[in-house]
Amino acid sequence: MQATISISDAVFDPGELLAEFTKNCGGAGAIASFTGLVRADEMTQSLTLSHYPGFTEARIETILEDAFARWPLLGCRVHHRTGEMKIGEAIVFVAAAAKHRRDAFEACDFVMDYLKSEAPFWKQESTATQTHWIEPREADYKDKERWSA
Amino acid sequence: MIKILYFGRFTDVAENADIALPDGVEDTKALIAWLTEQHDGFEPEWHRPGARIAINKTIVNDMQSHPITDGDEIAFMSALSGG
Repeated sequence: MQATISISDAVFDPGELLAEFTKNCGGAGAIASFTGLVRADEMTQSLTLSHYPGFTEARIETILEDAFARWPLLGCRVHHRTGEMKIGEAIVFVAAAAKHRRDAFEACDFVMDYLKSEAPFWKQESTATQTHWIEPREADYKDKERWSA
Repeated sequence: MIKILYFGRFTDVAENADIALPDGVEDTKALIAWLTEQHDGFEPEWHRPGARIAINKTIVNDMQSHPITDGDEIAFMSALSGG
């Protein structure tokens, strides 16, 4: 089990992905996972994500290579939704497996921080009256900078 | 021919296209100048924080000019926003 990356327009069940990842991570003592959802907001009706096929996967692979170089991981899984998503649907799933919990927690956190501002996805939010682009907030860039210290 | 792809905010100002390399365009700097003339709104998007250019799926340093040759795939991307 090493790094697995997938991107799809289809609705997915993060529980199923976690179960599958866990089954394939024999020998791990810790698995940390994160699921990002379309947040319920008064105005938001949907989010639409696009990506650059081939390039996006390659960039995520680079992020995971970095994670494997930093922590002794036994496996890592990234699944990202694209297309139109409704409130409550999962956007992204990240899981990291290691012998010990701290490595798994930190790797999962690291991968998410980099996905936020370094993975080639573009996000549009639609409300009842308009559609606008969502870009990383200052906090997202700061989150990523934590790992360069 | 070169392929020009647009992602994120750039899709609001231009559409993906396969075009013959315009006369005099041999590098990214010249291509950006040419696209600025072709598409209203291209230049402000290029100057927004986080805008990037990739040649054949490799991000290049946008502060320098990079050669473009026939068959290249050039992608213009606004700030990346995953997760």
